[in-house]
Amino acid sequence: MTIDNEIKKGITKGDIILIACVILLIAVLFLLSFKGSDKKLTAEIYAYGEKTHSIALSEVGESYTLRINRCELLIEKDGVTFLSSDCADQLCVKKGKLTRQGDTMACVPEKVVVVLNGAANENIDSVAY
Amino acid sequence: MKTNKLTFLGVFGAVALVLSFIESTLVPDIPFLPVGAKPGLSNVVTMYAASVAGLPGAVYITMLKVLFVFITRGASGAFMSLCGGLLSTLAVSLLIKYEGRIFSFLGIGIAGALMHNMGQLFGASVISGTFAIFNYAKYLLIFSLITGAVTGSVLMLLMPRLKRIGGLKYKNSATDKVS
Repeated sequence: MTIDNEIKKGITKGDIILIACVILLIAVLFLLSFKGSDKKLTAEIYAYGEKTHSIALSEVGESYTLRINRCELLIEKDGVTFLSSDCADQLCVKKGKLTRQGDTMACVPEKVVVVLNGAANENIDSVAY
Repeated sequence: MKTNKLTFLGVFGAVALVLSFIESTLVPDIPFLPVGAKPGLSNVVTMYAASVAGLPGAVYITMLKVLFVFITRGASGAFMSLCGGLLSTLAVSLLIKYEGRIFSFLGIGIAGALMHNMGQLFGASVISGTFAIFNYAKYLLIFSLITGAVTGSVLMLLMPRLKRIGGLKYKNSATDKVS
Protein backbone atom coordinates (compact mmCIF):
# COMPACT_ATOMS: atom_id res chain seq x y z
CA MET A 1 0.00 0.00 0.00
CA THR A 2 1.45 3.36 -0.94
CA ILE A 3 1.45 6.33 1.36
CA ASP A 4 -1.01 8.31 -0.73
CA ASN A 5 -3.50 5.48 -0.79
CA GLU A 6 -3.45 5.36 2.95
CA ILE A 7 -4.21 9.06 3.21
CA LYS A 8 -7.07 8.79 0.75
CA LYS A 9 -8.69 6.22 3.00
CA GLY A 10 -10.07 9.45 4.33
CA ILE A 11 -12.82 10.24 6.74
CA THR A 12 -15.29 7.74 8.09
CA LYS A 13 -19.02 7.84 8.70
CA GLY A 14 -18.26 8.20 12.42
CA ASP A 15 -16.35 11.43 11.74
CA ILE A 16 -19.31 12.97 9.96
CA ILE A 17 -21.73 11.91 12.70
CA LEU A 18 -19.40 13.34 15.36
CA ILE A 19 -19.03 16.67 13.56
CA ALA A 20 -22.79 16.90 12.96
CA CYS A 21 -23.55 16.19 16.63
CA VAL A 22 -21.09 18.81 17.82
CA ILE A 23 -22.47 21.44 15.44
CA LEU A 24 -25.98 20.63 16.66
CA LEU A 25 -24.87 20.93 20.28
CA ILE A 26 -23.23 24.30 19.59
CA ALA A 27 -26.40 25.54 17.87
CA VAL A 28 -28.56 24.45 20.83
CA LEU A 29 -26.22 26.09 23.35
CA PHE A 30 -26.22 29.36 21.42
CA LEU A 31 -30.01 29.34 21.06
CA LEU A 32 -30.40 28.75 24.80
CA SER A 33 -28.05 31.60 25.61
CA PHE A 34 -30.05 34.06 23.49
CA LYS A 35 -33.16 33.48 25.53
CA GLY A 36 -34.31 36.49 27.50
CA SER A 37 -33.82 40.16 26.93
CA ASP A 38 -30.51 41.44 25.70
CA LYS A 39 -31.22 44.95 26.93
CA LYS A 40 -31.36 44.12 30.61
CA LEU A 41 -28.18 42.38 31.50
CA THR A 42 -27.45 41.04 34.91
CA ALA A 43 -23.84 40.54 35.88
CA GLU A 44 -23.54 37.58 38.17
CA ILE A 45 -20.30 37.41 40.05
CA TYR A 46 -19.11 34.30 41.82
CA ALA A 47 -16.24 34.13 44.27
CA TYR A 48 -15.10 30.83 45.75
CA GLY A 49 -18.16 29.22 44.19
CA GLU A 50 -20.65 31.48 45.96
CA LYS A 51 -22.70 34.03 44.09
CA THR A 52 -21.63 37.25 45.77
CA HIS A 53 -23.07 39.91 43.49
CA SER A 54 -25.96 40.11 41.07
CA ILE A 55 -25.88 43.48 39.43
CA ALA A 56 -28.54 44.78 37.04
CA LEU A 57 -26.30 46.68 34.65
CA SER A 58 -29.05 48.97 33.37
CA GLU A 59 -29.39 50.37 36.86
CA VAL A 60 -25.71 51.19 37.16
CA GLY A 61 -25.20 54.92 37.04
CA GLU A 62 -21.61 55.95 37.61
CA SER A 63 -19.22 53.18 36.75
CA TYR A 64 -17.32 51.80 39.69
CA THR A 65 -14.68 49.25 40.51
CA LEU A 66 -15.18 46.19 42.60
CA ARG A 67 -12.42 44.26 44.31
CA ILE A 68 -13.03 40.56 44.65
CA ASN A 69 -10.24 38.38 45.97
CA ARG A 70 -7.27 39.76 44.11
CA CYS A 71 -9.19 40.77 41.00
CA GLU A 72 -10.35 44.26 40.18
CA LEU A 73 -13.58 44.51 38.20
CA LEU A 74 -14.94 47.61 36.47
CA ILE A 75 -18.74 47.69 36.51
CA GLU A 76 -20.27 49.90 33.84
CA LYS A 77 -23.72 50.39 32.37
CA ASP A 78 -22.73 48.47 29.27
CA GLY A 79 -20.50 45.75 30.64
CA VAL A 80 -18.02 44.32 33.06
CA THR A 81 -14.26 44.38 32.63
CA PHE A 82 -11.51 42.60 34.54
CA LEU A 83 -9.13 45.52 35.15
CA SER A 84 -6.42 43.54 36.86
CA SER A 85 -5.76 40.24 38.47
CA ASP A 86 -2.91 38.92 40.50
CA CYS A 87 -2.27 35.80 38.46
CA ALA A 88 0.27 34.55 35.97
CA ASP A 89 -1.61 34.27 32.70
CA GLN A 90 -3.92 37.33 32.82
CA LEU A 91 -6.47 35.69 30.55
CA CYS A 92 -9.36 37.50 32.21
CA VAL A 93 -7.70 40.88 31.62
CA LYS A 94 -6.97 40.07 27.98
CA LYS A 95 -10.62 39.25 27.35
CA GLY A 96 -11.61 42.90 27.72
CA LYS A 97 -15.16 44.01 28.40
CA LEU A 98 -17.98 41.51 28.71
CA THR A 99 -20.92 43.15 26.99
CA ARG A 100 -23.24 40.54 25.58
CA GLN A 101 -25.59 38.08 27.09
CA GLY A 102 -23.92 34.76 27.75
CA ASP A 103 -20.46 36.32 27.95
CA THR A 104 -18.48 34.51 30.60
CA MET A 105 -15.05 35.06 32.01
CA ALA A 106 -13.24 33.50 34.89
CA CYS A 107 -10.07 34.15 36.72
CA VAL A 108 -9.49 30.59 37.77
CA PRO A 109 -6.47 31.11 40.04
CA GLU A 110 -8.42 33.76 42.00
CA LYS A 111 -11.65 31.75 41.85
CA VAL A 112 -13.69 34.62 40.42
CA VAL A 113 -16.29 34.01 37.72
CA VAL A 114 -18.39 36.60 35.93
CA VAL A 115 -21.42 35.66 33.82
CA LEU A 116 -23.68 38.07 31.97
CA ASN A 117 -27.24 36.82 31.96
CA GLY A 118 -30.29 38.21 30.27
CA ALA A 119 -33.03 39.26 32.61
CA ALA A 120 -34.86 35.94 32.75
CA ASN A 121 -37.47 36.66 35.42
CA GLU A 122 -38.56 40.13 34.40
CA ASN A 123 -41.53 39.12 32.35
CA ILE A 124 -43.67 41.84 33.90
CA ASP A 125 -41.49 44.48 32.30
CA SER A 126 -41.86 42.98 28.88
CA VAL A 127 -45.64 42.93 29.18
CA ALA A 128 -45.61 46.67 29.86
CA TYR A 129 -44.84 47.58 26.26
CA MET B 1 11.85 -0.24 29.83
CA LYS B 2 13.29 -1.04 26.45
CA THR B 3 15.85 1.38 25.12
CA ASN B 4 13.88 2.28 22.02
CA LYS B 5 10.79 3.05 24.08
CA LEU B 6 12.83 5.18 26.45
CA THR B 7 14.35 7.08 23.54
CA PHE B 8 11.00 7.46 21.86
CA LEU B 9 9.35 8.94 24.94
CA GLY B 10 12.30 11.24 25.57
CA VAL B 11 12.34 12.63 22.05
CA PHE B 12 8.58 12.97 21.68
CA GLY B 13 8.18 14.35 25.20
CA ALA B 14 10.63 17.08 24.20
CA VAL B 15 8.76 17.76 20.95
CA ALA B 16 5.47 18.06 22.86
CA LEU B 17 6.98 20.51 25.33
CA VAL B 18 8.48 22.66 22.59
CA LEU B 19 5.13 22.80 20.78
CA SER B 20 3.27 23.78 23.97
CA PHE B 21 5.87 26.39 24.73
CA ILE B 22 5.65 27.92 21.25
CA GLU B 23 1.87 28.01 21.53
CA SER B 24 1.77 29.58 24.95
CA THR B 25 4.30 32.30 24.29
CA LEU B 26 4.68 33.03 20.61
CA VAL B 27 1.15 32.68 19.29
CA PRO B 28 -0.52 36.10 19.69
CA ASP B 29 -3.98 36.48 21.17
CA ILE B 30 -6.35 36.80 18.28
CA PRO B 31 -9.28 39.04 19.28
CA PHE B 32 -12.29 37.03 18.09
CA LEU B 33 -11.05 33.69 19.36
CA PRO B 34 -11.94 32.48 22.86
CA VAL B 35 -9.42 33.81 25.34
CA GLY B 36 -6.83 31.28 26.34
CA ALA B 37 -7.74 28.89 23.56
CA LYS B 38 -4.70 27.35 21.94
CA PRO B 39 -4.36 25.23 18.81
CA GLY B 40 -3.16 22.24 20.81
CA LEU B 41 -0.44 21.21 18.38
CA SER B 42 1.28 19.15 21.04
CA ASN B 43 -1.79 16.92 20.97
CA VAL B 44 -0.47 15.62 17.66
CA VAL B 45 2.43 14.20 19.65
CA THR B 46 0.16 12.75 22.33
CA MET B 47 -2.01 11.13 19.69
CA TYR B 48 1.03 9.69 17.94
CA ALA B 49 2.35 8.39 21.25
CA ALA B 50 -1.03 6.83 21.98
CA SER B 51 -0.97 4.96 18.70
CA VAL B 52 2.58 3.64 18.88
CA ALA B 53 3.28 3.39 22.61
CA GLY B 54 -0.25 2.87 23.88
CA LEU B 55 -1.90 4.53 26.83
CA PRO B 56 1.13 4.54 29.20
CA GLY B 57 3.32 6.38 26.69
CA ALA B 58 0.62 8.96 25.97
CA VAL B 59 -0.03 9.48 29.68
CA TYR B 60 3.69 9.95 30.23
CA ILE B 61 3.81 12.76 27.65
CA THR B 62 0.64 14.30 29.11
CA MET B 63 2.13 14.31 32.60
CA LEU B 64 5.26 15.95 31.24
CA LYS B 65 3.10 18.73 29.82
CA VAL B 66 1.27 19.09 33.14
CA LEU B 67 4.60 19.43 34.94
CA PHE B 68 5.65 22.08 32.46
CA VAL B 69 2.44 24.05 33.05
CA PHE B 70 2.92 23.70 36.80
CA ILE B 71 6.39 25.23 36.58
CA THR B 72 5.41 28.05 34.25
CA ARG B 73 1.84 28.92 35.29
CA GLY B 74 1.26 27.47 38.73
CA ALA B 75 -1.06 25.00 40.39
CA SER B 76 -4.46 25.97 39.01
CA GLY B 77 -3.22 25.94 35.44
CA ALA B 78 -1.60 22.58 36.04
CA PHE B 79 -4.78 21.12 37.49
CA MET B 80 -6.78 22.27 34.45
CA SER B 81 -4.09 20.85 32.19
CA LEU B 82 -4.21 17.57 34.10
CA CYS B 83 -8.00 17.24 33.78
CA GLY B 84 -8.03 18.14 30.10
CA GLY B 85 -4.91 16.17 29.25
CA LEU B 86 -5.91 12.93 30.93
CA LEU B 87 -9.49 12.96 29.63
CA SER B 88 -8.32 13.64 26.10
CA THR B 89 -5.51 11.08 26.29
CA LEU B 90 -7.89 8.39 27.55
CA ALA B 91 -10.38 9.14 24.76
CA VAL B 92 -7.69 9.23 22.07
CA SER B 93 -5.98 6.03 23.28
CA LEU B 94 -9.29 4.21 23.23
CA LEU B 95 -10.43 5.52 19.83
CA ILE B 96 -7.08 5.12 18.10
CA LYS B 97 -7.24 1.36 18.59
CA TYR B 98 -10.18 1.37 16.22
CA GLU B 99 -8.76 4.00 13.87
CA GLY B 100 -10.38 3.78 10.48
CA ARG B 101 -13.34 1.80 11.79
CA ILE B 102 -15.19 4.24 14.07
CA PHE B 103 -13.29 7.47 13.49
CA SER B 104 -10.42 8.37 11.22
CA PHE B 105 -7.61 10.52 12.61
CA LEU B 106 -9.82 13.53 11.80
CA GLY B 107 -12.56 12.36 14.17
CA ILE B 108 -10.05 11.23 16.78
CA GLY B 109 -8.41 14.66 16.69
CA ILE B 110 -11.78 16.37 17.16
CA ALA B 111 -12.79 14.00 19.96
CA GLY B 112 -9.45 14.60 21.67
CA ALA B 113 -9.77 18.39 21.40
CA LEU B 114 -13.36 18.30 22.71
CA MET B 115 -12.37 16.15 25.66
CA HIS B 116 -9.39 18.36 26.36
CA ASN B 117 -11.46 21.53 26.48
CA MET B 118 -14.30 20.02 28.47
CA GLY B 119 -11.83 18.50 30.92
CA GLN B 120 -10.20 21.88 31.38
CA LEU B 121 -13.55 23.54 31.97
CA PHE B 122 -14.35 20.84 34.49
CA GLY B 123 -11.03 21.47 36.23
CA ALA B 124 -11.72 25.21 36.23
CA SER B 125 -15.17 24.55 37.69
CA VAL B 126 -13.72 22.43 40.47
CA ILE B 127 -11.16 25.09 41.38
CA SER B 128 -13.53 28.05 41.23
CA GLY B 129 -16.36 26.11 42.83
CA THR B 130 -19.04 26.93 40.27
CA PHE B 131 -20.17 25.32 37.07
CA ALA B 132 -21.11 28.78 35.75
CA ILE B 133 -17.88 28.55 33.74
CA PHE B 134 -19.56 26.03 31.45
CA ASN B 135 -21.24 29.04 29.86
CA TYR B 136 -17.95 29.32 28.07
CA ALA B 137 -18.29 25.84 26.59
CA LYS B 138 -20.10 26.93 23.44
CA TYR B 139 -17.17 29.06 22.30
CA LEU B 140 -14.68 26.34 23.15
CA LEU B 141 -16.73 23.72 21.30
CA ILE B 142 -16.52 25.72 18.06
CA PHE B 143 -12.84 26.24 18.60
CA SER B 144 -12.08 22.61 19.39
CA LEU B 145 -13.97 21.47 16.31
CA ILE B 146 -11.52 23.49 14.22
CA THR B 147 -8.33 22.78 16.13
CA GLY B 148 -9.20 19.10 16.49
CA ALA B 149 -9.72 18.85 12.75
CA VAL B 150 -6.34 20.50 12.19
CA THR B 151 -4.39 18.29 14.61
CA GLY B 152 -6.21 15.20 13.35
CA SER B 153 -5.40 16.06 9.74
CA VAL B 154 -1.78 16.76 10.58
CA LEU B 155 -1.49 13.31 12.13
CA MET B 156 -3.33 11.74 9.19
CA LEU B 157 -0.68 13.17 6.89
CA LEU B 158 2.26 12.38 9.17
CA MET B 159 1.29 8.87 10.20
CA PRO B 160 2.19 6.96 7.04
CA ARG B 161 5.53 8.76 6.88
CA LEU B 162 6.27 8.16 10.54
CA LYS B 163 5.35 4.51 10.09
CA ARG B 164 7.95 4.20 7.37
CA ILE B 165 10.64 5.39 9.75
CA GLY B 166 9.74 2.48 11.91
CA GLY B 167 11.06 2.26 15.42
CA LEU B 168 8.21 1.14 17.57
CA LYS B 169 5.57 -1.11 16.22
CA TYR B 170 2.35 0.57 15.25
CA LYS B 171 -0.29 -0.83 17.56
CA ASN B 172 -3.31 -0.92 15.32
CA SER B 173 -4.27 -4.47 14.54
CA ALA B 174 -6.65 -3.34 11.79
CA THR B 175 -4.12 -1.58 9.61
CA ASP B 176 -0.86 -2.95 10.94
CA LYS B 177 1.40 -3.36 7.94
CA VAL B 178 4.70 -2.52 9.57
CA SER B 179 7.03 -5.36 10.17
